[in-house]
Amino acid sequence: MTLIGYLTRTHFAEAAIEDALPEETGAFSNALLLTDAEPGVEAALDRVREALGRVALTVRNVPAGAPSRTETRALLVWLHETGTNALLAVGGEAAIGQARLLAAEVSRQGGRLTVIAVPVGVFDLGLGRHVRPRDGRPAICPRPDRVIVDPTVLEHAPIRRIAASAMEIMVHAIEAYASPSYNPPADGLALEAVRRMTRWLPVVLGAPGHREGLREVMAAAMTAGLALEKAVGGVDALALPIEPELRAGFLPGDLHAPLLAAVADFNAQAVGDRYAALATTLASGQGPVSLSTGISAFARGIGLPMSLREIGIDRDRFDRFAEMAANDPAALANPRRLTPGDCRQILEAAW
Amino acid sequence: MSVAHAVAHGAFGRACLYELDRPMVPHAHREGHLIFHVRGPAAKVVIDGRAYPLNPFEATAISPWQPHYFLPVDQRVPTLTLVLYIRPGWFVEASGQASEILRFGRPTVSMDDQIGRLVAETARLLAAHRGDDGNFEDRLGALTQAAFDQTWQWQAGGRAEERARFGFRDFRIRRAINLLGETLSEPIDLGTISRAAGLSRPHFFKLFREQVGLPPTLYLNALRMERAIERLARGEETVSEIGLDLGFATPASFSRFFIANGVVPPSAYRRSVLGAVH
Repeated sequence: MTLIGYLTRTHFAEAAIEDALPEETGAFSNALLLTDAEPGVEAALDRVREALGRVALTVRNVPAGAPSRTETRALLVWLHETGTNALLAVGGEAAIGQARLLAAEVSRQGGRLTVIAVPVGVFDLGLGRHVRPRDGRPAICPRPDRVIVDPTVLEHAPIRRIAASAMEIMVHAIEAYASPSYNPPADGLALEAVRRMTRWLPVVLGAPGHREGLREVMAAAMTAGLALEKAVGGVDALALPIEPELRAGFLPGDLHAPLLAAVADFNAQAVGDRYAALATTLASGQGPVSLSTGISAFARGIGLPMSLREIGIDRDRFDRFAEMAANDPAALANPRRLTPGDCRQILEAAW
Repeated sequence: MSVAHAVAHGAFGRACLYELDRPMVPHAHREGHLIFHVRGPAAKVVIDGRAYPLNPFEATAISPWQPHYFLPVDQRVPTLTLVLYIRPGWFVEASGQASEILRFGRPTVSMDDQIGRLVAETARLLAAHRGDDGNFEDRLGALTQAAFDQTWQWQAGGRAEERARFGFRDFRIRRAINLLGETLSEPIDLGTISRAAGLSRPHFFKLFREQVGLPPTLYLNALRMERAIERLARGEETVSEIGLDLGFATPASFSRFFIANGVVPPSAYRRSVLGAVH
């Protein structure tokens, strides 16, 4: 078992749910539990219930997708009714992001909510600085007080979903590394996340259930999450307006490789040698390639779409998407200033 | 005559809605400074000797201790501006930026939809609730962050400041800065300060400008303004008492100094301060 003390208290181990979670909830006799529809969450919930046999849990499901301020208000009422200050979040971005938004709101009101997260899936694991609600600006939210990272939760996740969500978090790490704010530790973590993900994601996709591979992919997600002390930019701004219009069978992470390839070409002058360092990491040191070439080759290698055309995005909507992207708060974290015209050009290049 | 419509003080620094129609004198302050056009004719802001536009499409961003002044283009009609003086310590805490201490990358901010919306919301909350609304500080934080981030974004043809503009300060300059702060309520002779710091007067002026980025006279004015604003906002002394205590011979000379460096007369500023001072 590894206890990682950066930014918050994180247990990382196979069977951390059984070994670390009871210790961390020791003082609570009852707690609220937020969960979502993330694939594999049912199995994780069974394990959490068994591990916390003596803790009375009141369970509530949150809607899929990004958390919201509307849901936060409803949860505040629920919190007051149940009269506890312990909150478990078991699931993906929806449950853990919602728990963080709720903790931030309780803190604003002068209270204190202890949040213990059990991430299920490949995302920032609740470690990034910001939470992006679907109905508001990205907000700085307290990280969960404890994060129980158990890579075995991925054994129940569909391979297709792991691929898309791993690409999404890796793109976030790439953007964090390229973003202009000065944060050397976060830069180091971002590069390490990219290195680990490119090394192990193909292994997991080639041999589903590969224990070491799942552990390393989860470790890469955790490392990327810690790197998200820095903000992420252009790709998020461009992907968000498109996501609600994705056709069945496609996932938000599918947008990230084609968009990053186009954004990387657009940003090249502003970013300088940072993209070269990323491209070398992506290519595992094999020859000089550009970041856009490297990311496209990696996406092709793991069977993800390489263009918006393959995903079936309607080109007639590009002007609308471009307008929304240029005015999205995430656009400000892009190393190069993004105008609606620039965004349109990037979308064309990604198509 | 320039007018202060609303002023809020807080942990963030100061936020002011000013109607400006008079040129100011070159001055500086320790806060990061953002000036947004809200209504009225376009104007200019001169920063480090170079004029930058202030209009519905472009705002100005001034780093701590950067000499600057407002310059109206048409003095017949005032320009309504949202003027922010953001404490670097608050910004670092609120945004979690690991560096830069509110030093802006560029002196101009393009008023895109997002920033325009934040300016309108902040100005509205300041005018209507004088900064007491619970959302005011959030809006202010988001606006400062958006402007700050934009000034560090690369853009074709954009002129970015050199990042490490001022670095290590000579111990004699550090000593002089301490002396200036300690002796603010006494008549200050910069010749005496330079001798106490172990420098000749010309060498002191040259080294101060090189290492702090502005002449010691402007630095001294900034300290006087800070002290005056703090005491005016506290509301415990008369304006004349504050002026005399800061080394001004008459209330009129204090008033002239305050208008030239801080837009409105000290008594008007006091009336406009409606937020809590932290």
